[in-house]
Amino acid sequence: MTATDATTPIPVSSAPVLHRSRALLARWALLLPILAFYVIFFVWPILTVVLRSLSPDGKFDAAAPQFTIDNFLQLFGDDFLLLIEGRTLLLAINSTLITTALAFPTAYFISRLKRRTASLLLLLILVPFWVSIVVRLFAVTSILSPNGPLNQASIALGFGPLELLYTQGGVLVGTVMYLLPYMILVLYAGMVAVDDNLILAARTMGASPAYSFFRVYLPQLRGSLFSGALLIFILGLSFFVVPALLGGPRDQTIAVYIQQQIDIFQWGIASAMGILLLIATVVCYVGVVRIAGSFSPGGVGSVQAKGVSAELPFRWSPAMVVSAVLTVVTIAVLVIPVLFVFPLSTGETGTVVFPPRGFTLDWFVQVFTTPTWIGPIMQSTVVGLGTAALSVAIGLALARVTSGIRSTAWKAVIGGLAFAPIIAPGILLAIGIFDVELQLKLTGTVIGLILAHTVIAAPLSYALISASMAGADRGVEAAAWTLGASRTRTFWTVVVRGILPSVLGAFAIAFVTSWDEVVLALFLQTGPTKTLPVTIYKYLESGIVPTVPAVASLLVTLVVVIVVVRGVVNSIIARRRAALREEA
Amino acid sequence: MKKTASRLMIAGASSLVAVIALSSCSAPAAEEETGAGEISGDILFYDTSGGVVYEQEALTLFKDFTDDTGVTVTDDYNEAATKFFASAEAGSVPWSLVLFPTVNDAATAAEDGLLEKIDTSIVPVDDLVDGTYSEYGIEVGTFGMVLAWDDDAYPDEKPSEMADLWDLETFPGKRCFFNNPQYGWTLEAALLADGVAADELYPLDVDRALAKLDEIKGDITWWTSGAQSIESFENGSCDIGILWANRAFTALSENGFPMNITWNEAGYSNSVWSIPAGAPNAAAAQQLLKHVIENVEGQIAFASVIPTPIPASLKSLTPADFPDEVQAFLPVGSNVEGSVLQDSDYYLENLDAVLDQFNRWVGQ
Amino acid sequence: MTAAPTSRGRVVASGVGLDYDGSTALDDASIEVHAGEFFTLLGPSGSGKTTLLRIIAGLLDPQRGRVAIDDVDVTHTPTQKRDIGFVFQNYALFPHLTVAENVEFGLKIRKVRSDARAARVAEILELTALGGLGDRYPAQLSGGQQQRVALGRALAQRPRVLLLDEPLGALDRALREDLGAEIRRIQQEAQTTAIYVTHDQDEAFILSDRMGVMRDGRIQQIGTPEELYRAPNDLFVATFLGKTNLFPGEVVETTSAGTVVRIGDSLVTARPHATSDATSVYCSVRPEQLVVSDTVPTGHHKLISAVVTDSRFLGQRQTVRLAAEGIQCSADLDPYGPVPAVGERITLSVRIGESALVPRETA
Repeated sequence: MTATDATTPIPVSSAPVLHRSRALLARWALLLPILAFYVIFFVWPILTVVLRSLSPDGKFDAAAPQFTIDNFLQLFGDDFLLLIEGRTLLLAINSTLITTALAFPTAYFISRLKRRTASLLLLLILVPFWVSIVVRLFAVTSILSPNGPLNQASIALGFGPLELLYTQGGVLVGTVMYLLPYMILVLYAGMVAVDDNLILAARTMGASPAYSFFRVYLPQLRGSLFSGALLIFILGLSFFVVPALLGGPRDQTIAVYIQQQIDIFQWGIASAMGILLLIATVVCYVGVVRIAGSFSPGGVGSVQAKGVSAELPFRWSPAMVVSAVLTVVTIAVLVIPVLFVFPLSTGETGTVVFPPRGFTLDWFVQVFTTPTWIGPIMQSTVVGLGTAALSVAIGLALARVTSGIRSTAWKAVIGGLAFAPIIAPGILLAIGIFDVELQLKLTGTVIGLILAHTVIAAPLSYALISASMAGADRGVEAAAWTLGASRTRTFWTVVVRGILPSVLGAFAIAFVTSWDEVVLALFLQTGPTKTLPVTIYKYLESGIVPTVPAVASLLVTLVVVIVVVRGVVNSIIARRRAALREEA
Repeated sequence: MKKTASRLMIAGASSLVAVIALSSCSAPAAEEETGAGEISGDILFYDTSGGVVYEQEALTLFKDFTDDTGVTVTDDYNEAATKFFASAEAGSVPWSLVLFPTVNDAATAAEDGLLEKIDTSIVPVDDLVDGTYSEYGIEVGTFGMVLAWDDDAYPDEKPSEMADLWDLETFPGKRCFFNNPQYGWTLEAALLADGVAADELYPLDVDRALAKLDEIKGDITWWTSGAQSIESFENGSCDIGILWANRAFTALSENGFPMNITWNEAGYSNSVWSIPAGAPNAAAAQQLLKHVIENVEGQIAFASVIPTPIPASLKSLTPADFPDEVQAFLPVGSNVEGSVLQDSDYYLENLDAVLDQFNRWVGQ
Repeated sequence: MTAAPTSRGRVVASGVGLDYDGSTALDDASIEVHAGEFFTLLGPSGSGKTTLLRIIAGLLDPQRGRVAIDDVDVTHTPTQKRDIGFVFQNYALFPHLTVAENVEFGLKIRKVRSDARAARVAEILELTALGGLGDRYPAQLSGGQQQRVALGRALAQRPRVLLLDEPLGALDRALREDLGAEIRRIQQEAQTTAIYVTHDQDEAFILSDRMGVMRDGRIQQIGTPEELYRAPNDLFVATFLGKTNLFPGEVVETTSAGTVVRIGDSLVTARPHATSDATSVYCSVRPEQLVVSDTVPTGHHKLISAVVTDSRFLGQRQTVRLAAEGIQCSADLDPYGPVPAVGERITLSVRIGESALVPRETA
């Protein structure tokens, strides 16, 4: 640290004042456009919703502002709204508890396996994680449907028909399925970071396995547990797609209610509900940061399997058997829906049925020959690429600015603000950005959607880039300067080249975020061509056509190919590095 | 009588809008002499029915229009009129034609000055039955909300009135209702079953209707889209319920499901095609309306598959002009003698309150 | 406190072996550590010393052989029931517990009453010179302080055996010497048996009563530091401990005074060469044993003639590099005595019966 500080040339320059002011200017030149972007597409939307929530009828009149807190009073004075709020809270709590109860043993079990097996199981969790939630929900509706396999099995076994779809249970299953990968990835990262020697040390002092688990192991995971639980609680609280698709009218949550109210122009109460979600989110966030010390959004970095050590080898014990069983349940919940789309896509019938009747690949041909799907595929690709390019640009610029800042307080402020869009409730952003883009005449345009997606994708890109930029040696940059390279040239050829893998990662994560996103896309797209997940969502709402499972299968295959290729490339790189190290 | 009131209300819409509408209408009127050949480009269609309805439109009426004029029609399906209202209020409308699911939606839009007048110098509104068009739109796709059932489920006695939905002994099984009361005939059916006379339905006694519905609340499967309604029958989620007549026909004719319906105590209502104020390519949209009204052959071809005629009622067409198998599902002529026309004025006034009360009831 | 009886803590490992990932980590090693003894396992990395230590602790299960503590077979006794203390190379302090709580950990498990517990914690903090730091968290301590906490924590419950795995490895040189002495003092005061793993021979010499030199999963030789230094059994031990000069020779005969070996045309009497009957040997002569002179002093045997190639003054000693018939060797001389000039031809000799013989084949 001291060595790199000493080589940072700004303080030792012959004209430090001039250089410093120029650097400051450059910093602001980078920061201002980003700032403007965040103000327009994050601050303004939220402000609009706040103003609407405080205006009579939800219509804020700038010329003659009138304020009322009636909407908020109604939130807590109306029995029906209290019921919905209570139901939403209950869903979030239940899904957080169930998800944690499944994710903890799963992550623990995987963390105790040999590297090869662990990598494989992690793949089984990553593939569903990267497959769009809409695709997975399509499979879930088919599985839970009255003529789906679960009900068929139940009837065949003599238990009679089950009511699964459009029930609270269905919503809970769907939400848990959505949240599981986040929690597993956060917990797994925490678990592999725990020093095995701590457990061994406890044993040498006479601690039984149970004692060392609860008194030594678990306390090390406090931060991960709290961060992960907060993340999934927030997601569960404001998640829209699952209750909208899997829930019946009696399973309405705040997010679904907001959408319903927007549909009948009740902006006031809808906005107040959105603000309520935002406040709940912020309170949870602050609470967890207080307790756990920090918060790390899950699923950002790449997860590498770490093999178990020789001292703590895998051993079957009653606790391990339970973990294994729960791991099987978890993986079944995640993987079965993803696999289920394949048999559905090859049936010959005009309606999608299970088990499929006949075999045909015609639906796949149709996907690529009809504008119904080519349009959405193009739209999603264009929006995804645009979002990724813009997010990486913002991520690079912002990381550049924050890496130059020495004050940790400022770093924390900028970092916190940059991450705010991730934890802001999606439905709130959707109605706020919709409102703002209407005024900017951007709704329905590709640019409008790219900008909106960038709001939620750029923080993830920034997280990846800033992490690797912080790890990079600034001395290298200084060395390039001493060799006569200009600052700009150095930045691109030395700094960016050095962190190229994470820039690519940032591009990929932004692309996937946009590619999978439903809620913003649902609200903001007015044109005839919608993005892929929204098109699927529409079909889920209005009735499935046989090309839907075909598209779903193609999307799953795409993710499998990408994840497997990435895994293979990573392991080749790791093996090559290990070989180099051995030679040295 | 109700219709007249509705038209009066539309006529009373803000004068400003009328001026805008008139001024923008004058141009196409002048082009009338040169015919449809002058129009070009695309009509972006804000469509709230979607699915098979649009597919059939594209195969018949829209195809004929495109063949004759070169103007294409592109579908933009939205589940509700919300987005249209939001965009129109913000003054940014990409659509040339809008399908409002109900007459009162169209009336609201007209009232708010969001619609352009129908140019009667182009569009032959005189061909339409009185009361099925207004200054701001022509009614289309009249949909009937009928009592429907799985004929195999009740081989002996057949349901005949809404009260049969409450008769769980004679007609066991789950009941299917739409979770939107207006398009689902839900409240009206409950009141009819409770003994309210058909001509005394409006204004609705919502409390009474919901109390009646409470009796069977646990036996109701709610559907949320037309496609889902017949899926629910096909997958056994319900055996009896209130369906849209055209969807019931689709289930029977395309999927071979033994669907049976009765028009007795059914409700029927119209949707509306309108042209948004300040719409792009409005001239082409006016020509489209003209073309569709004059394309009687196309209308029959469309209704043979989707029995919701476009336009709703042509003076020159009778049910006998349609193919035999579809006649029972058409919301016209003798079919609707025992049916009730939904009061769109009532819904225009009370929709927010009714929806709120219904949503609260259904959500509890 | 009452002193623990010194008969506690005898450790015997017999024929302990472990294969890991297809290669032999430990090849049937046997040691016997006396109660109260400070025993060091010394060897380069990968020699199996840590594996042996962890098997004694029960952290690894041996595939062959047995481990006994105080004559009780503990081969299949889980770690937590072995009554040992273990100091990890990275200390493995519990980051969520304070210094005092770390020390208290093992006492709580043993359900020691709270007043006795507090007294013992205070005693340990005193012993490890950590008084006043009891409320700190490990992250707030320096490396040396953390090391002492680890040591105190391992000793708190008065284990029969204290096992230390390179506990000074993470510290810098000056601190290592101080703390090494400290560890020895604390072990002596606590009167516990200590088994100490290191790759650093200086540490081993400072600390050990006896030590075992390990290589490739095998114990090469066990003895006091002096025995191992003066009389290495094989080439590895001879070269691993300190510096040495190796002169190839042939065993001529074994007499009561020692083994006679022919080096070039000289006959040298070395220490009795008993452990091997090899006749091709190296005569190992430490630099400080090598006498550089014109003539062979009395009580010495001539080894070889050599030419001085380099001479350096290093403070405590004068190091002279020599070339002797193709053999490079070095001698440490008294810097205050006569020093030969570079290029001077001299005679190298060694005290009779003092040099060591090791077989030339190393296997």
